[in-house]
Amino acid sequence: MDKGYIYSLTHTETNTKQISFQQNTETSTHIHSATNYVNIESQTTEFKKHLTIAFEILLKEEKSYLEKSAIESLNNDLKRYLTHLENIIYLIQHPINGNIQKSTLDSIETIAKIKFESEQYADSLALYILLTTLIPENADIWCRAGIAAHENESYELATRLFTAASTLDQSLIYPWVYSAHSYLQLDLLFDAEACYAKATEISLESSENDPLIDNALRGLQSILQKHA
Amino acid sequence: MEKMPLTQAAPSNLQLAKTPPPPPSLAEKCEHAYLQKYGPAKGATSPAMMQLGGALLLIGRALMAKPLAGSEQKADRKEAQRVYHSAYKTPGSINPDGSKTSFFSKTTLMNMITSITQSLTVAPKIADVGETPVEPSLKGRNSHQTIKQDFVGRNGVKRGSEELHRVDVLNRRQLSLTEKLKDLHQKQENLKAEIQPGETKKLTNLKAIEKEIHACEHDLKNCEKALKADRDHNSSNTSRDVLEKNNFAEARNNNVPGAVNFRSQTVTTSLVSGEIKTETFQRFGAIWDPRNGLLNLKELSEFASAQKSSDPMEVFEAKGKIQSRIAELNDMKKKFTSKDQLVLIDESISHLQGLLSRPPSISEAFRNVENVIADRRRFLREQLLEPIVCQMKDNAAKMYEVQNGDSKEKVFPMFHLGLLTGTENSDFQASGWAHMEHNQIGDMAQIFNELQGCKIVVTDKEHSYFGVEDNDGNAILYLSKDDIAQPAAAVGEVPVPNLQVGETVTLSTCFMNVSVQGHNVNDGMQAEINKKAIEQLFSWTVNITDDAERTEVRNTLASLRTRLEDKKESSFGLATDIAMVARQLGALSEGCLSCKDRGGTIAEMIAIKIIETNLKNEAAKSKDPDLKKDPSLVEKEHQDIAKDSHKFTQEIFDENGACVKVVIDCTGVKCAKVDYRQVPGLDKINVARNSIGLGVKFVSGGLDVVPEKS
Repeated sequence: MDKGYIYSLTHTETNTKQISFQQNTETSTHIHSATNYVNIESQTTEFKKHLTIAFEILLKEEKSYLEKSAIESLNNDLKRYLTHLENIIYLIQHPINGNIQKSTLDSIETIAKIKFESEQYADSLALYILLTTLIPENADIWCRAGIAAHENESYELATRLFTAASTLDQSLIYPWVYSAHSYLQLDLLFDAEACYAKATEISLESSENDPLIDNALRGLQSILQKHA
Repeated sequence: MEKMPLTQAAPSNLQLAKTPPPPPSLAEKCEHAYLQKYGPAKGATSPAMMQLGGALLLIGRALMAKPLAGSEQKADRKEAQRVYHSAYKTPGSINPDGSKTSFFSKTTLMNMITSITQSLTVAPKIADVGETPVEPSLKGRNSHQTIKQDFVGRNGVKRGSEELHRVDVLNRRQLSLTEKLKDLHQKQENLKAEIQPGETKKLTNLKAIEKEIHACEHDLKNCEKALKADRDHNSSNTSRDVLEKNNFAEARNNNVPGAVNFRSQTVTTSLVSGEIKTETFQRFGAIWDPRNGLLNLKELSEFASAQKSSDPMEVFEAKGKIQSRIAELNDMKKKFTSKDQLVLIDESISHLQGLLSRPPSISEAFRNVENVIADRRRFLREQLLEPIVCQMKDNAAKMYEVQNGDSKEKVFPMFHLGLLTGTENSDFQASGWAHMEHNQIGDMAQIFNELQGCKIVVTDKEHSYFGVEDNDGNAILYLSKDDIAQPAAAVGEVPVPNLQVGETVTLSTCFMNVSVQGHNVNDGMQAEINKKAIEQLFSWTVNITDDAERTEVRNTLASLRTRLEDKKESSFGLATDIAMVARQLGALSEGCLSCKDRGGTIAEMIAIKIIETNLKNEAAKSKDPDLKKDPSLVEKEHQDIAKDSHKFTQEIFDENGACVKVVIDCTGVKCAKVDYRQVPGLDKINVARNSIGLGVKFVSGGLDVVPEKS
């Protein structure tokens, strides 16, 4: 894979795009008034693209996946979220009081999971990325976002998400195993080797025995030995 | 009684159907999962990859099915914020796009989400309107503006120390530009007053001054903007960040010419006698033109010069080379298709086509390209202003005198060691940031070459600057006596240059490049540059007064030439050996693209080698009668020193070491991005340990340059 592709992930150019939440009848006028202004300029990054997708899914598809009470809770949070976003200066000076409700996080996670199970990896990734912005201190969320990125074959992004996960929780083995595979896909053998070494180290120190992890490590070892 | 049939061992088809099939093995499950997702074509290529990919699919499904880990996994919020910014490279400052009542419509979604995260942690600083966005991670790291480190031997005795000081290039640049503008305006007024109709030479000079005023004002504006945003130096990522998220054609002009990640590194050896020996070298990133990284000054100057030649053969050959470069650039359009990439490719082709227009003496297109070349030359030369001034301050003792006719001429030799990779690898980003190290080598080689013989005039002005160019593109450096004065605390420690106001010094420059990872062969443009540079180093040896020392240095240079030219060596070891001998002949500086990973490693290797050399020299020259009587004692002392050096080498990549601190200062990453296997003297266990650490380098979110493959 050439480097041009690798970097295109973080420097994607997207033309001006309108996000429309008009179809959602549940949302309040606050959301309408805010979203009508949403006009993402050109040079939108991959990150912004994912968040755009996440908002679209939540506001268009929530009824397909969530109970009525969960929808209400989600919409209340989104409304609050977007109301604050309406005025950036206000937001900077007055941080949001209290975090997003757990039920909202659960709702987003539920849809993300369903999307993952139904192999709609791009959608799942977008929702997990949104979750990382809401609970950035949760290593598990970063790890899940990384797995979704990996299955979406967004390998460079996956390595960054896994890096975040492993930084927050150094005992996790998954980020290292997945990163090793991602680096292999990116033709970065040296990096793949380093991740494999770390994964092996964690595996040896761990009392748990996961045959799938062992199988993955054997596969990695075999591939790396061939390249050595 | 019925007879049992003789052949009834095999079960019937019905019996087979009723027997449950054996459960699939783990390998089969993995294979099945993989084939289900990717199909047989991809899986058939590598069974190991199929097992790995399949296992990962199953792990992912199992993990996703589990409930989300809750608060017990929550990490420190500050750490989470850092991780978040690293992963998404989100800007820390909100830019309201010109309006103080900025609403959703006037900002990007990314800024909004960033601000939410920030609001959950600490209240961010509100950026001024029009402020240049500054990476939050780069703020508040001034603890690494000065880095100190001790080298403590195995027995706990301090063998030496080092102190790295980051130079506030942009503060200096602001003062320099202000001083220069004052001078230029004065000259402009004087010329305007005395110019008479028909005095074309004076008119040309006036135009040159006005052009320079315009360029200075442009630089000063950008410089002030950067300073206002708390950025007093060009960091490793500045030229990249300038382009990102901005309109390329406009944003690239926001680059302030100033050496990147510029630091002085002072190494002190604690001799056994109790004396200390101090020397300073410099480290900075590549001197290149990020406004257009697809071309380089060397090729542009050579093409332009050849096209103006009276030799038709030379013109013909140059034409072929230019056409070949145009074809290369046209080919790039297939691979690099972002709007900004195409703008830069087309612009580069247009410049090269301009060089083909004939006759050059009257062609406007050719003249336009000459202006582009002059502008690039100026941009590169300006970046070397602070390094030259600092070298003259820190390494005054390197200045020597040569007989020039009846008078003596003072010469200041400056050597720079580039660590760039000369192969034509492309790291051409969608933003238009073209990091192609072969072009950077071309830029550096040419500007160092053009500064050979540059006149430095000592002035009583407060700040130093390059004056207006003459018609050949040469500029005089006006050196402020204040700029090279030692602070009171250092008087007596560092030799002060014995220079009087009005005195002239000639600059002598030498540039070499040794690729230390990636393409480790001394060939192509690198070999061509190094061949000339070695000759230049030989010419500097005439200034060594001690015959034995001169012979020793020349022998070392001869050996280095063999390694470069016969063995085609290009390595960390060779780079260190070259630096060690070059520092005996001139003021030394070194650096890679941004001088943090490769450059930082070499800097530490040089520091360790300097301390080792000084200690060994002391042992060899010891007046201790016991040592004199028994040479084996000296040998033992040398072995002890070498063992300590070995210990220091193992510590190069320690998280609290100077090398890594510089990386942290630039990117926040606690790891130097180096192929540790290429670093001589590093034990295997440390290669592995550091390599594991390298795995987390992507904390920087891809902030860094081309991922250096092993």
